[in-house]
Order: sequence, then structure tokens, then C-alpha cells
Amino acid sequence: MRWKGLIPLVLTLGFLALGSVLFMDKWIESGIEKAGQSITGAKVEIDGFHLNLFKLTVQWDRLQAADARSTMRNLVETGRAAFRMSFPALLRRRVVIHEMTVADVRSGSPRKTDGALPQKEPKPTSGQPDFLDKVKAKIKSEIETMPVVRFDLGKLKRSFNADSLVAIAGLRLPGRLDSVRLDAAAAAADWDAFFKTFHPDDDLVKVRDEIKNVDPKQIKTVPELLSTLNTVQASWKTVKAISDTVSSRNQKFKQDYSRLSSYTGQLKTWVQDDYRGVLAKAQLPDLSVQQVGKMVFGPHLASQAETWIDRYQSLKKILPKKSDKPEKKKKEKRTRMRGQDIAFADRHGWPTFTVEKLSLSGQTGPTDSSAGFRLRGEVTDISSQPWITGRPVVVSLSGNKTDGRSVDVLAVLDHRTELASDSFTVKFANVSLNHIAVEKSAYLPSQIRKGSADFNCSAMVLENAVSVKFSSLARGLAFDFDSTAVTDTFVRILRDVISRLDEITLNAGMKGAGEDIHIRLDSNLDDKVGGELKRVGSQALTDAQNKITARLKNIENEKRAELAKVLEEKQKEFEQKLASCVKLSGEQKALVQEKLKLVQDEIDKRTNKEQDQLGKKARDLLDGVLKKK
Amino acid sequence: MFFINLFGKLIRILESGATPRRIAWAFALGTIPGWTPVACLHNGIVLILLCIFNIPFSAGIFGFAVAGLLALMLDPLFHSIGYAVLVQIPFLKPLWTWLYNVPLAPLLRLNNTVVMGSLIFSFILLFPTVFFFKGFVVRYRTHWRKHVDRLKIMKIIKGTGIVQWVQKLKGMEG
Repeated sequence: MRWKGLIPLVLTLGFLALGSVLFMDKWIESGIEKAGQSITGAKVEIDGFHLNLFKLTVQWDRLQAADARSTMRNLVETGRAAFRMSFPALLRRRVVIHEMTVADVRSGSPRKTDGALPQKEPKPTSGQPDFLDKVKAKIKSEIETMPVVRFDLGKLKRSFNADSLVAIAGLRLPGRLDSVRLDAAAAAADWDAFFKTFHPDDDLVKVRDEIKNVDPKQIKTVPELLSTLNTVQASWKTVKAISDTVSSRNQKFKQDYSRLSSYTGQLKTWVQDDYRGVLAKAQLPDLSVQQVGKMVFGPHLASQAETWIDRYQSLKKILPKKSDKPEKKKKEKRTRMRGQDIAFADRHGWPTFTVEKLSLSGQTGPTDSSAGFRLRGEVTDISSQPWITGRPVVVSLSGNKTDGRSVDVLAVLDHRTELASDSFTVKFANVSLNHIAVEKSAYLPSQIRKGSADFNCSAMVLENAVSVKFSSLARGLAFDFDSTAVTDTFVRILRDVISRLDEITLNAGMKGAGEDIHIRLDSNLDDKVGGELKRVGSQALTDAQNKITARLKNIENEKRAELAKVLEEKQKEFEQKLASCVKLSGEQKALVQEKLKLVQDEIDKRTNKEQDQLGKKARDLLDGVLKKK
Repeated sequence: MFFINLFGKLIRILESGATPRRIAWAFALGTIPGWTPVACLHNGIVLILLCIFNIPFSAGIFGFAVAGLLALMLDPLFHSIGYAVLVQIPFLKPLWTWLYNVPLAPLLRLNNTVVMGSLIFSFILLFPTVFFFKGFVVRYRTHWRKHVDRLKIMKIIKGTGIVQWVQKLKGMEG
């Protein structure tokens, strides 16, 4: 034994341990900061980070993550946090934290230094917007296509020309119909080409001639019978190939014409889009659809929704995702094969990383003087592999203020299966609206003098579907408007209605999956302002709208007839041809099947007969031999 | 240059004062981290053994280099062996499950097919390697040394500073 040989090893390990003790805190701190920065897109700083390797405790005095949108403020800031890692779990390469406490969490706190990261070359994106990007685009387009109303009654009465308005509005319908025509023409060309090359009649007649006189009972010898069987089987192959082709083309024909027919159904929506466009161009309020609430509150709610979707997208980046495919590991320089990690049952049920309970306390406001809501609550079962723990992440926070305001937040982030589902419920009650300045808008008052409101929002987001409900009730309201004179009739009416209102309700919703997302926003302003506009705008407005509607109705009828002509042009011809093919191939298929069965039955019959005769002969021979003995 | 260095290292080991048995054991132990992926706990144990046993450490490094090079080609075989042992032998499954749950055992990474396969392979080859390499050292010292000395490559190797320094030390000892 050469115990001295251990000295270099011990010394090396000692130096490594010393280095770890001296620099590990910095390394880990820097690692966490970099990971955080890659998620938030702005600086993440940790102060006073310390890992105690002997006690396995981690603590920091302060963590601040800058807001990428406003880099002189923090998206989130925490005070002191401390937790202990489970030693038995660490021995099994798992980080398990039974309980963690983070105090003094706040959002929007001012920063002393700029939290912007150095500008980098933007990373090339995948090019494919995800579902939430589509939701944002839908919200944006919903707001952009909203008519901006400048309602001048005098001008409307003096000079309104529906024809010229329709001409300058740039209808989208003709372009859309051109696309339909192209699609229909491409489908027709495809079918023309198919029928030019597909002539099954000759083959089917040949088959029929070959087998119609086949009568297995008339065939004397077995070899002849087998030869007939081959002929019938060959015919069967031919008929089956033709029948399969006809069947698949028949299916395609149905798909093609179902797609082309669906355009007729969409025509009404397209005309409706153009109608809204023309109204926007004419700067007329649309009294037929109730969208006053959307015009008044829509832009503000859309901007809020976009902010929260952005935050949710950032959160999604760090949420685990279960997948059947093997996990992608970071590219590393390897010369050897990686092999496969076989998973065995883990009797402890520990995922790679888990925090069983995180107790949180903090405030929504940025500073002590404007603390906002004092919040308290917990987050349970944060895990890198929730499918192992079998429990979703549950965030439960509640807070209130001495003036009676309260807030409750419940979020369930369920990523246990491949179909992740995240649901959120937020309730604010008795929120004071006293002296609240309102976002600058032509329609809204400059500030709410007094009032209070309740807000409820619930949302559920699946991988490719969303359902959001938002409702608010503001009561005891009094408003202050700009003193500037208003010339626009619509704005004047709106202001009159709002100033008389004691209560404003707002109900918004968004539901949909994939590309099909529907957004609605209703308010009690809809009926009240709509009614008032109808009363004031009276006949002039209704006439103008009727003119536009009538003009568009003409265009719709004209285009509908054109579309029907395009679609029906060759449909009947192709249908007849296909039906004839289906009928002919079906008849021949039945005939060949029948003949095939007859030949096979005859072969079986004769085989059995031959077997019986052979058996009888064998028995006779055996009897003869036994008798001789 | 790498292979010249490797050859030079082999010659220096063979010409060192250690007994053939010790050289062979050091070489065989060194092949274990060579066959298996390096970042596994058992290689730490092998390192300690190489340090505490009175065997030439450089022979261990040589064994590591040789086995490490060969392992690049044999990884698919290791994967097959590991997969068969871990997955296709049902009665061993309770053993692997137990081992998977034992403290520190995950650091051995025995649930990885390449690690398991290469470790089995290295254990199977351990004693044959000792036997073969011991014979090789003896054969070199009794028969091949004079032929090898005449090779041109030896001039290159002996021309390097370290070899000259070793030779000088040997001369001082003599």
C-alpha cells in the first residue's frame, strides 16, 4: 500500500473544495442570474447569495428582476429568502425543498440602475407563431378593425353617397372571390386530368367477357379448374385496383366539393367585414351591433390583455412540458455515444427538482408608501416533473386593505400530462376608483371622481385553446370630463350617457381553439348609447346605413350567383362520371367475387372427394394385407 | 504526434523498474475509466486505487488512453450489452430498481446502457488484461527490447527532453 500516493489526490480535492467554498456562491449566483435573464429579457440580480454545503441551506438577501418593458423598474423583487435542501434526495441527484419562505415580494419597485441588458443580435425565431401569438394578433385585429367614430350629423345629411363610399372603401370581397375561383379552377383541372387518363370501362368489359361464361361444374379436370382459378384471381386483382381508385377519388371529390361549398357559407361573413369597413370609412357608428363598450374600453383592455399574455408566455418558458419524445439535452462536445438512461421505479417519487411548499408574502405596490395590496399565500408542488409528483402547481394568494378592498388569486398550472392546462381566477372586490385618472381617450372622462368596482377574471389556457371571462361592475360613479368643447355628436352623446350613469357593467370573453378565436365585449353603454344615438341621429343615420346595406346586398347577391356558377359548372359532370365508374366497378366486383367463390367451392368439393376416395383405397389395401397375414 | 507520445509512454513504462505484475495491474485498472464514460463515481474509486496501491500510475494513464480510444468504436456494443442487462433480463430488474434508489448510487449512472455495458465489459476483461499485459511486459524485457531499440522511432522518442532527463537519472543511479 502506498498511502502517500493519496496526498496529491487529497491536495487536489482540497484545493477544489477550497475553490468551491470561496467561489461557489458566485458561480451559482451568476448561473441563476443568467438563467433568469434568459427568461425575463432584462437584468436579474441576487444580493447576498450563500450556499452552506454543510447545512445544505441556501439563502439570499434580495433578488430583483428588471422589467424588460420598463427597465428602471423591477418586474419582481423579493426580500430575504431561505430554504434547506433534502440531504437524502441530494444523494440521489435530486433537489427537494420541503418548505421555502420568500418575504417582502413586490412588483414595480424602482431600480437604482438601468435593468436593460446589452443589445444583442435578435435570435432568429422559429417563424411559426404559437397559439398565444395568434390570440394576441386576434385581439389586435379586433381593435384595429373597430370603426373610429366621428359622427357629424350635418355632414351626413348634406353629402352622403353610398356608391362612391363603397368604391373607395376597397372591398375585400372581390379579392377573396378571386381566390375561390382559382381554387375551384385548380380542382376542376385536377379532375379533368384524372378523367382524361382514367378509362376503366375497357378493362372492366374485358374482365366481364373473360369470366362471365366461367362455370366450374363444366370443368372436368382439376388442373383446368386451377387454371380457371388463376384467371378469376387475376380478374379480381384488376377489378379491385379499379374499385379502390374509384373509391379514393370519390372520397377526394367529396372533400374538394365540401371545401368549395364552404365558401358560400363564408360569403355572409366576408360581406359583413366589408360592411364594417365601409362604416369605418364613412365614420358612422354601427348601431346594428352593440360595440360601444368595445370602442370605449376595448383598447385599454386589449393592452392589459397583451401585457398579461406576454407575462404568461414568459412563465410558460419555465413550466415543464411532458412529452413522449426523449428530452432534448443541451448540445455538448462529445466524442462518445450517449447511451440510453433506463428509468426504474423511484420509491421516493422525487422529481429532479421540487419545492413542496413556497410561502410568499409581499405587496402589489412598488414602495412602502404606496404598498397596494398586502398579499400572503403559498405556492405548492413546484416541480420540474409534475407527472412524477402527480400534483399540479397551485398558487393561492389573498390580500386586502383596511379600506375593505380585497383580492384573491388562484392559479392551477397542471402540466402532469402532455395536454397541459393552466387556469387562473382573480377576484378584486371593492376597489376604490376615487380620483382615478383615466387613460386619455376621446370617449372617456379625464378622471373618475368617485366610485368603486369589483373585477372578476377567470381564464383557462390549454395547448391550443383558450377561454377567458372577465366581468366588472363599477358603481356609485361620478366623472370629470375635459372642459374642451366637443363637436362630434357621438362623443357628446357618449359623454352625456356616461355622466348620467351610476353604474357601468363590462363583460368580456374570449373563447376558441386554433385559428377560430371569438372575442366579445358587452357593456350597459351599448344599449344606452345606441338608443340615444338612434334617437338623435334619427332618420339620416338610418338612411345612410340602409343605403350601404342595400348596396352591399346587391354586391352579395351578384357575387353569390357568380360563386354558385363557378362551383356548379363542372360539379354535375364529374359527379355523373364518378357515379358511373362506381356503379360499373361495383357490378363487376360482385360478379368476380361470385365466380371466385364458385371456383373455390368446386375445388374444395373435389379435393374432399379425392381425399375420401384415397382413404377408402388405403383402407381396402390395408384390409387385404391384414387378411393375407 | 499523439501516437508517438503514446508509444514513448509505453516504452518508458516497460523500461521502468516496476515488476511486470504491478505494471499489468496498473494498466488493467486504468482501462476501467477508459472503457466507461469518465463522469461516473466508480472511476473515482479506481483513481484512489491507482494512488494507494504500489503500482505505476503512468501505466494506469496509458491503460486509460488505450481503452478510451478503443471505446469510441465499441460504444454501440456497450449499449447493446447494457440494454440487454438492464431491460431484457427481467429477474435482474429488482436489483437495478433497488440500486436506483440507493443513496449515491445514481452517481454511478448504472441505469445508463453505455455505462452498464462498458463496466461489465471492463470487469470481464480485467483479469485477461492483467494476464496479457504481464506476459507482454515480460516478453518485451526478455526478447523485444533490443529489436525495439533499433527502431528509428526510438531515436525520436529518446530525443525528447523528458527521455533524456530519465536517461540521465538512470545514469546517475547506475
